[in-house]
Amino acid sequence: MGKLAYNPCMVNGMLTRMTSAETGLAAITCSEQEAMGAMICVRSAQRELTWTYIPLATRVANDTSMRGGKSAEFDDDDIRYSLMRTMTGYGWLVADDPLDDDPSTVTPEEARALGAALNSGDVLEDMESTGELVWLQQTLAVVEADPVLRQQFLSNFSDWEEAMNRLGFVQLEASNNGSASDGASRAAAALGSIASLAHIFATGPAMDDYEAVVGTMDSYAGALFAVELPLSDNQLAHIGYDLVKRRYDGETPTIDFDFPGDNTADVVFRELIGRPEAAATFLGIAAHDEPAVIFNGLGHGQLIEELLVAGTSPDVLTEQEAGEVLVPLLQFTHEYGDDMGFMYRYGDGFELNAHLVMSSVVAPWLLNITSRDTQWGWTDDEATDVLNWIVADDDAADRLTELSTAYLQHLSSIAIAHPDGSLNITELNDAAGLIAELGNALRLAHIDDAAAARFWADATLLLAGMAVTALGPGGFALGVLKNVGAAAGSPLIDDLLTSVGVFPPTAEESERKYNQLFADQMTNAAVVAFVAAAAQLTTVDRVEAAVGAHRLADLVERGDAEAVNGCLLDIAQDLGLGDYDETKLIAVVQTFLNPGFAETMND
Amino acid sequence: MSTTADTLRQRARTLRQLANSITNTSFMDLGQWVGPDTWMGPSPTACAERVEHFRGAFNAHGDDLRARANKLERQADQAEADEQRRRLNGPI
Repeated sequence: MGKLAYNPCMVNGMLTRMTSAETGLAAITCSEQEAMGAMICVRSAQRELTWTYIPLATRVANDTSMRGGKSAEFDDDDIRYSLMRTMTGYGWLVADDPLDDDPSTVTPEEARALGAALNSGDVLEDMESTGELVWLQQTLAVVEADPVLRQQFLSNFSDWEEAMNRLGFVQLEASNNGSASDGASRAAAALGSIASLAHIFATGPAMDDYEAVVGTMDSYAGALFAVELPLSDNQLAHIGYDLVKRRYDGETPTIDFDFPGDNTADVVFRELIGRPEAAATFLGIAAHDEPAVIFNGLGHGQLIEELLVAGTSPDVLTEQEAGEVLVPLLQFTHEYGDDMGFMYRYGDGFELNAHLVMSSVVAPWLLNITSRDTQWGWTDDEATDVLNWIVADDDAADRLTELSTAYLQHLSSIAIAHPDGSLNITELNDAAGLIAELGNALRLAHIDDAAAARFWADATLLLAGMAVTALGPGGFALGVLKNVGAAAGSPLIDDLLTSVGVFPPTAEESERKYNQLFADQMTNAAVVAFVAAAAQLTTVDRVEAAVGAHRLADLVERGDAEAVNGCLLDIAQDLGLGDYDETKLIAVVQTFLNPGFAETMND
Repeated sequence: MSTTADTLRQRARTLRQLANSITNTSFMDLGQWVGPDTWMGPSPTACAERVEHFRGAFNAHGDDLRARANKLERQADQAEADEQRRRLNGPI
């Protein structure tokens, strides 16, 4: 083994800079075709740091402490070390150089010979030692980075299928069965070799026909190979789907079949999750071809939800595109979801709850399975059935109420009045419809009262806030919510608000009363909105007097929607507001009880 | 503005961002740390050579990416002009 000399005061600083440089390079990504050459160069530099120079610098840095600040033994008389001997006189130390048999020096002849050896297949078949694998990975990294070496290698190598299948198997076996340290090294070396071969492949003429080449490989090996190719999002989605579908169809046994760890889909899904546009395209293909491929054959079941959430996010899909992907996926999960927990087993023991997974997926698109369901081409019953199915599971219902409350908060930030003071009927109706549909689904699912009460309390306050915002220019829902709270300071209105469920029922209040409130929640929401809005336009005292005179609380208690409606209109007149304010107050009531009416008023 | 021109400009932006990323990465400052002030010997020498090699390559790729970005923007301008002309002349 050769030697190297180093300045112990500098070597730790060098290691820190190398690590930082490696992190910086890893953060650089680009899928633009014209940037392929630059990205290959970036990855080559990153790999040399990762695999060659950071380990070397780490070893040298550790050497200082391991030897207690003394040099390794070296032959003082060896002429090759004369400079090192001089430097030790200046406080430098000497360490063994593990890279003395330097794999970073590869001649064109060696590259050509390596190509020929790999092409025969026997070399990889006989490659049992981890040291050999590490050497292969380091040598391929050098070949990959040099255009001349790449050309020489490619002139003698074409059997991508055999090489990938063998390296894929080695990686898989080492990941699953290897002893802790050796297994990890073998797996990393095999993976690094696959990556380098993919990058070399990408610079050769066969890249034009990459789908056919990947098509010859085992699906797992093909996945490891394909995710290293400089593919566009669309290309990645298509090749990824082909690979996962092949594994799903099971026409030929794949190497990942007998291992519990990563399978083909794990490799593909992880790459797609990091590239949401590609994930969206992938899900679009699967939704219309074979949705089951999304849920089957993974080592890590949690990736399913991550993929679905990434690929159906409003960040990557328009409302229309989301419908094209999500409607068939929701129909599929609605039909088969309850059996998936029994049908599919995941290597990590993950238990799939399709209700729960889909609750996260639909959360950003709640309007499209409630008030805007026709925009996705649902029939009314279809959307309702799917929503009812999702919330039939307690955990899914809890998650959906939690996520939908956050969504309602988002809606509350939308200006609900146009600059001319007219109502933004679309937004208001969307919110009202969403709350009514979701509330009904929760009622049917018999979720526990406390969770449902929380949802209604939040939702009703929000509706009231949105309605009041519509009454005056410059108002914002959050500010208005405080006014609703202020109005609740009056004992009468406090009772009224409690009776319509704005405050969660106390333990003493029976389930009967709560169920009664559910029966006509939109009427109750209208009452709350009216009271809060009226208090904004006049004074709490006047509203209190008018509400008491008309015995509104009695009508609410009886659940007589028609009588409540008439009573609210009477109170609006009695309050003696100007025509303009009175008209807007009536519009608020009608928005909840008869949206068409309010729309007419805006016109 | 036409979709084609938008796409070309977006691609140009992507290339320019990448050029800036690779020419401003902390890797570019690594040369002063891996030289003979820190260590010496065959492997340290090879390391310094490789870092210098990649530094040069990153600069060259940066220039190349910016040239490609400029070309894409010229194509975008042309696509826009063609679109404008088509609008003025109406359907052929």
